[in-house]
Amino acid sequence: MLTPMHTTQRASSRRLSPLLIALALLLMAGCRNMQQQPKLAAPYDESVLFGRAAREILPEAVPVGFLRDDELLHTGMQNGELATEFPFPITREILETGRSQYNAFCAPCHGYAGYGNGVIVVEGFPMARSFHTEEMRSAPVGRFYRAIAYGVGVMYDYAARVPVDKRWAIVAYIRALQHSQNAAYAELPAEIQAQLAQTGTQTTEAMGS
Amino acid sequence: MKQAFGAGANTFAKLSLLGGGLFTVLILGLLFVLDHSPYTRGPIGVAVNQPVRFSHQLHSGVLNIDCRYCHISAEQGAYGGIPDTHTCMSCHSQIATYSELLEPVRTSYATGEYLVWNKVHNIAQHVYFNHSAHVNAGFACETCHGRVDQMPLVWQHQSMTMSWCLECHREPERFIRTYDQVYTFGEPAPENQIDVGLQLVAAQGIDVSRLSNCSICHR
Repeated sequence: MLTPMHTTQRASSRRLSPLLIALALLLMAGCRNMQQQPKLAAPYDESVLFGRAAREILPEAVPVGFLRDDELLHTGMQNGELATEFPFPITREILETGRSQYNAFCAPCHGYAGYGNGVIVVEGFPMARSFHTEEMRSAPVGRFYRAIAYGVGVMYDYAARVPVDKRWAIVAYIRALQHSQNAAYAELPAEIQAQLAQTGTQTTEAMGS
Repeated sequence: MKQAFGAGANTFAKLSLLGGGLFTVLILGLLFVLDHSPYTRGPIGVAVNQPVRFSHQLHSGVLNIDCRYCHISAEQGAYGGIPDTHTCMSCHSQIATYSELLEPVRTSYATGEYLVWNKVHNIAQHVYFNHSAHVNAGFACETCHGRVDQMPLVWQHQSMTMSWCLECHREPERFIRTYDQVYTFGEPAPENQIDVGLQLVAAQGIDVSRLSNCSICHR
């Protein structure tokens, strides 16, 4: 009685193994299906309902975070005049953000130090405005903000690329740049003064000899 | 009565066991190779042709324009992002305005028709990769995309397999950088990268034990 049962078991396992292999293959096929899903993964993918995956914003629709209800923050104006103050207090952290954003978006034309001689100007773009003129030093902050948000002259607007808070961070950094290029000797920290005095002496000595 | 099987049948049966085993290994091996091959993964190091022959070598390498100038959504969102033609025209309204190569860009800007670029990196669709989470934590463009500043037309630099992702997800300290090094190319890693890396990982509050959870990338 034992032997037939034994045989049946072996026979069934032999019949099972191709099934198992087929199942394993099916499972692996399943993996591939997960890698290619019936969804719109890329922004330009065509959609039957909406034209394409990344939909156009409908006219007059206001995306979350884009409600322009604060005149100073969003338009850089105060009571119809160019704003003379920042909409929020400027901290060291904001200045660092401003530097990073300025170097990415402004430096190609305005240059890293803000003299209007960035690499794109060297390539043939009309000379960008230098921030180190009396006019620009006394210009209200709203003027800088509005240039970023709406563009000015041949400068296109950067509204799509630089969000509101980062625009103000850039303006703050431009103020810092202006200060850095036009600082009075008496305003400098003592150690920098000492450093300058030393370099000055060295230079004089070098020139003298 | 004549035997159904000859004398060699036993040897043949034993050999077929071995052969069957080898055959299975071969098939599984082939499947593995196919799964990791450029046929399914996208070719590495092969430049992808584009509707406009935009050169990263010129714009990023020679002119040193920051990656974010065009690919801003890498910093702000999940998708790396292809710039709209408004971005191109913010310089090319004045520069190389005669260029025939730029005709599709000008047409797109004038008509509002999308300029559809060819995708270079096709990540598996059950992977949810978030660019901003990576760059803002200190993982450089260069680490995954290679020396884009030396690519006339962009090609895929890394395999984009899961084992490749896990190299970094298990030991992020090997690749993490300070924030000011994220958008730069070719800066040598500090000699004490692991020490610096561990500090940066801690400073960013990255919980490495969670980074190899399935649901970190798969949903």
